[in-house]
Amino acid sequence: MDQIVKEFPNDVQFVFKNYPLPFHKQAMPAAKAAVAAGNQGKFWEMHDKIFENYRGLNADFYAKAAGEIDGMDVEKFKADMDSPKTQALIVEEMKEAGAVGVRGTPTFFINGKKPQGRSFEQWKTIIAAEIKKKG
Amino acid sequence: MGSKARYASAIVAVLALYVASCVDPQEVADIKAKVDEVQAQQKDMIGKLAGLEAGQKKILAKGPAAAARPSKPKEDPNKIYPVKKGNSFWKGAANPTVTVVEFSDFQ
Repeated sequence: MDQIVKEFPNDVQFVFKNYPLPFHKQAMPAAKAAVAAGNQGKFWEMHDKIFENYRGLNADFYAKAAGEIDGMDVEKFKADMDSPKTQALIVEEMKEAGAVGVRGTPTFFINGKKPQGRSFEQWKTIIAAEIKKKG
Repeated sequence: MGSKARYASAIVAVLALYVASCVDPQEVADIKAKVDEVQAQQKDMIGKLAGLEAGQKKILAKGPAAAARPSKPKEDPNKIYPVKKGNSFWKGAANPTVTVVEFSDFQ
């Protein structure tokens, strides 16, 4: 995804929506951690840390990871992780997922369409065509 | 012949008949019960087989693809879903021509 954003810096916006699956025990805490970090402008830093450690996730991981991110207020992060506002955003995103028929993760949409294929080259072609259509 | 002897021979005759007609009545009853049981099971199995056969015919009637993958609805790749940025976190272009939305979990 970084590759795509770098390839089209002026055209592509990449939006992440949480869809924590109920049978993944750490999916919801991880989603909350990403949102809590996002409140301090550090969503992607936490996003990357969680993905790098997705096998070793546990309740102690998130505050520790937050402490490793430059400029993070860890106390605020911890409070935000437990705040109803954080929960509300995730619930909102899950409702959006339900509304467009998302069942598994990850599910991608490019200008609302489900891309056929997952490779960088395939996406580059799809995105270039979308840009051409709008330009 | 005295009445005593006649009486004795009558008992012998009755016993002989009894032994000849039903070797062991309990055993015969057991066998009969077993046969009834097996028959009932067989009837049950035939009924179940008929059900299976009917189900198979139904699946085959839908064609070979339906038999292999019974419930995968075909999706239109050009369908446009109403996915919006909303309040979600994002990166890249602030005024995009193309928006990529990912629904994902972290685990």
